[in-house]
Amino acid sequence: MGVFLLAPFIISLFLLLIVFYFLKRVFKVRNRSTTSKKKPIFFLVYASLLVVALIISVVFPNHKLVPLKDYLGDYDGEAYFYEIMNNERSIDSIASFKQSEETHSMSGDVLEFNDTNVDEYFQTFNMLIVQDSSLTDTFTIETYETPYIYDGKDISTYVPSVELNGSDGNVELHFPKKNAILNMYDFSFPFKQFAKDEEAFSGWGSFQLPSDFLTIIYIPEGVTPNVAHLVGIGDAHVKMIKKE
Amino acid sequence: MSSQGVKFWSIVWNQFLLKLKANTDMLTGLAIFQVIALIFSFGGNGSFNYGSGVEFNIYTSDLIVIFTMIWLIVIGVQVLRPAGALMTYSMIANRKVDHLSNIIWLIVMTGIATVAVLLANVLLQLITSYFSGGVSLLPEVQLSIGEYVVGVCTIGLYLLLASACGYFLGVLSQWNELVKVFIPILLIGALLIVPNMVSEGVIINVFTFIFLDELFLLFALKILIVTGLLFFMSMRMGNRLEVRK
Repeated sequence: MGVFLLAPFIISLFLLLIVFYFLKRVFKVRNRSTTSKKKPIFFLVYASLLVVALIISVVFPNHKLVPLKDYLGDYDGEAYFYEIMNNERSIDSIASFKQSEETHSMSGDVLEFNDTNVDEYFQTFNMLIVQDSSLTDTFTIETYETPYIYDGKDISTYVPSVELNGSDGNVELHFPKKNAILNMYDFSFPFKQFAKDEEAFSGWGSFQLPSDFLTIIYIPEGVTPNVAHLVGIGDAHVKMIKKE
Repeated sequence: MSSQGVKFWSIVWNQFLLKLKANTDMLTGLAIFQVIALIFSFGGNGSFNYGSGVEFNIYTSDLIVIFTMIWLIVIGVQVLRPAGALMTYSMIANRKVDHLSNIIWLIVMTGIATVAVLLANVLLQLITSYFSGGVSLLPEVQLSIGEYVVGVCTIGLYLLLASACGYFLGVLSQWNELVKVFIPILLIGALLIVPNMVSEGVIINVFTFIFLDELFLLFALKILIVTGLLFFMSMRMGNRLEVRK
């Protein structure tokens, strides 16, 4: 990683040294003609920087293509999770959005929730606690994430989500420390002018739909989840229902 | 009187080479304009937070293209500066040779500027991706080689048009000293008055007809005709000027 960060600077210095060496050689012979004696040093330095940038971009590409996921199906941006939280939609209908499922042991009567990295950046957090009579000494954590659709492309891969780690009678929540920064490069207008696929070259930002996270925790009946302190986190929603 | 004949195009070529060497300092202007465009572009064309802890920064090289066009307009005017005219005064030449060598020089500058625009875009992507600490995403659909070539040619044509406009303005300003004052007034005034005098539809139709053709070849043909007309008018007007003031 360190080498990766230093490499561009080392290459830049090396190339600039070469450029300056040649400049020195070239301008040793004085121009005696009527032409300008001003040397466009600034331009030459700038031009060499441009070349260095090109070389670095080729050697160390740092750009990702936005992957399109095939699980989108007929997803049209409905507030699926909101409806599930309000018991208006079955959990089975969001099976395609499931990210993880873990089962842990449950020995006590209280399920504790511990959170870390809670700050202002993470705004939405939905947790549904389902009391399941079929469970006795275990609890299950399921996480769901809807696509993050931006201009028809799913960028949810790059969106930070809450990480949940379970242990006996305990759930650790790790909130993302800060905003994810997504740099999106669009083609300049001359490139887009004659693009065949107008939709593909419409540019970023024509349609946005933020990603949504949902955590469903199945607990045995008689277990009390200690979630009171979670409600104050950003725009957190915690609800508890009984499995029918 | 010399009995030795001279070839027209060899004189043009020699004068072009002279101007190429003499005006290298103008390239500093290109670097300065592009650096300014890059500084403005670092802020992104859009930056906003949307939803769950995500900050979007959208970058394009539109500003770099626009600032390079401005530079070409400036050098189009500057190439006719008195220092340049004095430099070629002692050479075997006439007005036509002078104009043609200027036009060839502007075309070469347009080529250099086009390459600089493409590379500046790479520099913009590199700097923003390394210093913002974020993930850099490209649109999923990439340009084919054909589309890339067409895009590069389109940039070149816009820049060429800008240089022709600059040259025309330069000749106009030589034609009469007052024009130097009136050109900015006319340009700003036209922006305010023309929309009131001519219906919006006409302006949009003219703009659409020239710039927004769906076929690249037609677009290129129109830009080249407009550019050719501007250069032709510049030459015609320039020929009427005094040899030396």
